[in-house]
Amino acid sequence: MKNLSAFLFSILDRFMRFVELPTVYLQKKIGVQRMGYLFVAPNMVLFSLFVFLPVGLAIAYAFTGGTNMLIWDRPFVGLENFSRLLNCGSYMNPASCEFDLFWTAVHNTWWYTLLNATGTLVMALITAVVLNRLTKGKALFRSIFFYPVLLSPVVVGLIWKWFLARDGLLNALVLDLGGERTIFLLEVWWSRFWVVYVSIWFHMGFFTLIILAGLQAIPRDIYEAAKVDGTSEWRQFWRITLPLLTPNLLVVAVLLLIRSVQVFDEAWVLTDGGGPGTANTFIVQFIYQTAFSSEVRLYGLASAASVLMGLALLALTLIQVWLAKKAEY
Amino acid sequence: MAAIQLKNLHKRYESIDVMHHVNIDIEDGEFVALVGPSGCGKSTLLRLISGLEDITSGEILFDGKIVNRLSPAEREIAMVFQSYALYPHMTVKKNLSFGLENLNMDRAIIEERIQKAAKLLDLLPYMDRKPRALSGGQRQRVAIGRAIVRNPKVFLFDEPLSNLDAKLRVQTRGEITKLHKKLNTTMIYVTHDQVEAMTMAEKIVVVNAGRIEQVGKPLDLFERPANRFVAEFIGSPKMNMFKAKITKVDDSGIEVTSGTIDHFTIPVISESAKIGDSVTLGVRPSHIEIAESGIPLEITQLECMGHETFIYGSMQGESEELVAHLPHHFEAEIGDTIFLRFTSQFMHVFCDKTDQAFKRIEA
Amino acid sequence: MLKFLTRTRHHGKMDITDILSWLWLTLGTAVIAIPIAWAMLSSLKTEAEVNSFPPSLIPQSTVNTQVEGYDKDLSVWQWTKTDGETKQVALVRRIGIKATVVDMDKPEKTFQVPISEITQLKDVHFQWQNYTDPLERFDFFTYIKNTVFVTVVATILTLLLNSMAAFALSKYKFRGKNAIFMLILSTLMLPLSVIMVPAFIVIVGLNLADNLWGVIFATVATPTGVFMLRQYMLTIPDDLIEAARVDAASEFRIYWRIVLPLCAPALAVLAIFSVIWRWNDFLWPLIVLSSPENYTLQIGLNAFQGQFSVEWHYILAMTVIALLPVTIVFLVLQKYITEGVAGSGVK
Repeated sequence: MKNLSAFLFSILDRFMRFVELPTVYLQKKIGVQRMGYLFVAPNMVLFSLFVFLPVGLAIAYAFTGGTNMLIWDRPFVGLENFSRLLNCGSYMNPASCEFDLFWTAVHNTWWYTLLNATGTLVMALITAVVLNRLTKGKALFRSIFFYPVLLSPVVVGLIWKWFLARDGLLNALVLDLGGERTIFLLEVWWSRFWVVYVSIWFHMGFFTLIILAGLQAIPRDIYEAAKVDGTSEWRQFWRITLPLLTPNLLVVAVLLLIRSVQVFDEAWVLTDGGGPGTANTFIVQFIYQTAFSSEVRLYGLASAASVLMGLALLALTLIQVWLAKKAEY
Repeated sequence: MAAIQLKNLHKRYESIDVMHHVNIDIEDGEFVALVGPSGCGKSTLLRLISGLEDITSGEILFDGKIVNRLSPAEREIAMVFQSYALYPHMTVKKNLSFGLENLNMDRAIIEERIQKAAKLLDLLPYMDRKPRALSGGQRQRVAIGRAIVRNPKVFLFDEPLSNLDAKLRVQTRGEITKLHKKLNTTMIYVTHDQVEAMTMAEKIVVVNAGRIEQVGKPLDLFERPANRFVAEFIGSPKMNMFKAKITKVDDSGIEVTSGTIDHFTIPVISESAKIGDSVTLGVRPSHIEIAESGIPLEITQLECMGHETFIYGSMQGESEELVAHLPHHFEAEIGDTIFLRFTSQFMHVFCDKTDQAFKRIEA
Repeated sequence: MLKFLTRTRHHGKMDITDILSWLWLTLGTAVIAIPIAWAMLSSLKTEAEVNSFPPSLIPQSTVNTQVEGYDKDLSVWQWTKTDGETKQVALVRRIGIKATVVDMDKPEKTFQVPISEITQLKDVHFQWQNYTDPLERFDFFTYIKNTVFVTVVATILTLLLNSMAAFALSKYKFRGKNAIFMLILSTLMLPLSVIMVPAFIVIVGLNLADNLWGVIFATVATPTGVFMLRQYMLTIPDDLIEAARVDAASEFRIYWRIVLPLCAPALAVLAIFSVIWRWNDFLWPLIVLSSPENYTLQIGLNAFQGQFSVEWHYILAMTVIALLPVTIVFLVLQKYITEGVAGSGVK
C-alpha cells in the first residue's frame, strides 16, 4: 500500500515536472513576483466567465427585448422590461399588475422571508443556548442538529413530501389522534406553513452553529461573576447573553434575510413547482420559469427581475457588512 | 567559491530608500560579517546579494561577472535562515536532497553528497526524522547541511544563532568557524551581535540605516572606529562619550577641554579641526586606569566578578555616566570616590558636525 | 445512559431549565430524525406496503406458502376460532365476508371461515429490489455515474485552482493583487440566483450547454475556497518559500512540493465541502443539463419523481442513495465539518 502510493506519487511528480517546464521558461521571462499572475489566472478566467461577465450581461439583457439569445440580435428597449414588471394598479394586489405572477412571487417571497427568518433565528438561538449549556454530549447534539444542513434540497423535499403525503406518516398520526386526513401540500395555507417549516428544519443547524460560536466567544468569567452574585439563569440569559450576542445576531439575521429571499430549491421540489396554483411561487422560480421553462424565453424580463432582486440583495449585503464591521469593533 | 563586489548598490521600496549606494569588496574565501542594529538593513543587503530581492540600481558581481538578474540558484549561493526554514513535511534526508533534486542531479551523486554532509554534521542518526522531532541545535545543523550539500560558491547566514541558547550559541560559533576553515568558501554572515561578528569574521561590515559605516578587520574596528556609530556599536560595554571643546590644534594633535579634562592633547591628525569646535571624546571602559590622583569619580554601581570588575559612576561636570572595566580584582563601596587616568593614545575624538573620527597619528 | 442524561451543571440537582433543555434536545432530535428514518424505512418496503394506509412501521411482507394441488403460492393467515383456539391456514379465495381456506397439513380439503376471524400473517422483509430496480430499469446508474464524475473532477479542480490563486494572493507581490483579492471576495456576496440567466447564456456561448463540463467549470472557482486557503497560507512562513528558491526550486515546484503539502489540513476541509456541495447541487445543473443521459442524481431524481410520482418505493430508495454519501462523510468527519462551518461561516 505504501509502495503503491509512493509509486503513484512518483508518476504524478514526473508528470508535474513536465508541466513545470513552460512555467520555468515563463518565470525567466517575467520574474519571480509576477508569477503570481500565472497562479491567479485560471481562477480569474473562470470568475470572469461565470461571475463578472454574467453580472454585466444581466444588466445588458435587462435593457433589451425579444426572444433572441445573442445579445447583438436583441433590440434595445430601454426601461421597458422594468416598467412592465413594475406596471401595477396597486402593489398590494398582484392581480392588478401586468405581470401578476411576478408580484405574486414578490408577495410570497416577502411573507416567506419574514416568517422563515424569524422562525429560524428564534429556533437557532434557543438551540444554540441549550447546546451551550451542555457539559457532555455537546458535540453529539451539535452534529444531530447540523446534519440536515448537509442534505440536498431534492432529498429534503422528497423526505418531507413523503412524510406529508396523503398516505404519509403525519396523516396516520392525525387520524390516530382523531383528526381529519388532510392533503397538506395541496391546501394553500397548509402548504405555505410546511414550506416555511421545512426550510427552518433544513437550515436551522447552520445558523445554530454560527450563533453557538458567538456564544462560546463570550468570556466564561462574566457568567461566573453573575453566579457569585446569585443571578438566576433566566436573568443571565436576558441580561448578559442576549445583549452581548446582539451584534452577532443582527449579522445572522441579515444573512438569513439574504438567504430567504433566494428561496427556490427545496420549496420547488416539495410543492411540485410552487403549487398549489401559485401559492408557493417565489421570485427565483419566476426568473427560472421566465427564462428557461416557458414557451417563449423572455431573457430580458428575467434579467430585469434578476437585477431588481440583485439590488435588494445588495442593499441587504451592505447592511450586513456594516453590521459585521460594527460587531467587530 | 567566489569573490563578490557590490558597486553603488541601491534599493528602494515603494519610494523609500532602504540601501544607499553601497560599495563592498569581498575576497574569495573570506568570512565577512554584516553587523548592525536591528532594522539597519543588513538582512536586506544579504537578500540583495542572494538574489531573493531585486536591486534598484548598481551592480553585484560574482567573480567579476554581473549577476544582477540571476536567481539565487543561478548565483549558486546557499543560505541558512534565522528560522532555519526547514521543510516541515520532509524528513531530514529529503530536506538535504530537495535542492539537489531540483537541479536534476544524478541519484547516486545526491546520495553521496548528503551522506558526506550528514557525516560531517553528525546527522546520520536523524536522517528519517521530521524537523519537528529535532532539537534546536539539530535543526540548525540540518539547515547548515542543506547549504553544504549544494557546494555553493557563497554561504549566506542570516542570524543563524539567534534561536539557540547561550551555551549552544558559543559552541556553534566555533563549529561554523571550523567549517569555514575546512570548506574555505566565501561566507557572509548577518548578525546584530557584535561579539559574534568580532569572534568569527575576518572582515566586518558595519551597517546603519541602509548605509555602510565602516568596513574592516575586527580589531581595526575596535581600535580605529571611523565614526561615532561604529565606536559605540563595537565593544561591550559601550565606549564612554563626553562633550569637549577644541582649545588648540597643532601637528602633535588636538588639545581639548571638557568639564573634567583640562587641556588634554590627543594625538590625532587635526585636518579640518578649528579652535572652538565642539567635539565628543570617547574612551573605552577597558582603557581606563585607576590612579592615586586624577579625575575623580563617584561610584554609583559596582560589579565585582573576581577576575574582572565593572565600575559605574558619575564625574563632576559630566552628564553621562561612565563605565570602567578593570581586568583584575578590585574592591570599593558605592559612594566612594576614586581617581581615574585616561591614556591619550587610547582616546578617540569625534567631530560633532560630521560624527566622523579624527584619524589617529600612527607611531 | 440515565446518568448521562441527568448530568447537569450543578451536580446532583436537576432544575426546571435542565428539564426544559433536555426536552428541547429530545424533541429536536425526534423532529429531525423521524422524517429521515421514516423515508429510510419506507424505502425498504414493497410497493404494496408503501401504498397501504395506515402504514406499518417496520417493512413487512405477506407470508406465502406452497400448498399441494395449487399452482400459485397461497398467503398464510392466522385463524382465531370463536373458542379462542388459533391455527394457521392458507387462503384460497375470498368471496364477500367468507373466505375459502385450506389447512396446510391437509391440503386436499378446503373449508370456509368468516373473514373477521382471520388476519394475514406478515414477517419482516426488506425489499432491496427498490434499490436495484431503478439502477437497472431506469437511468439511475447513469445519474450516479454523472454525479460521481462531476463531484470528483470539480473537487480536484477546485483544490488545484483555488490553492493556486490563494498561493498567488498570499505569497507574491504584484500590481493589482489587492484589487483582484477584493474582486474575488465581492463575489462571495453574489448569489447564483441573481446571475443564473446570463451565466447560462455564457454556457451556451461556450458550447457547454447540456454538458457535464458546463456544470463543473462554473463551480470550481469559489471565493470561499480562495479565502479559506489564503488565510491558511498566510501562516506558512515566507522563509520556507525563499529557502526553496535558494534550493533552486522553480515557482511552480514550490507550489507543488512545498505549499500544497503544507496546506493539507485546509485542503482537506475544502475537499469535504466541495464534495458535499457538488453532490448536492441542484439549481445550476437543473439549468445547464437538459437530456436525461446527462442528468446528475439530484436532477434525475427530481425528474423521476415528477414523472413517476406514484412509484414512491423507488423514489425513496433513490433518495436514500442520494443522502448516503453525504451522511457517511459527515459521520466520519463531523468534527472537521462543524468546526469548519463555525470557524469560517461557510456552508
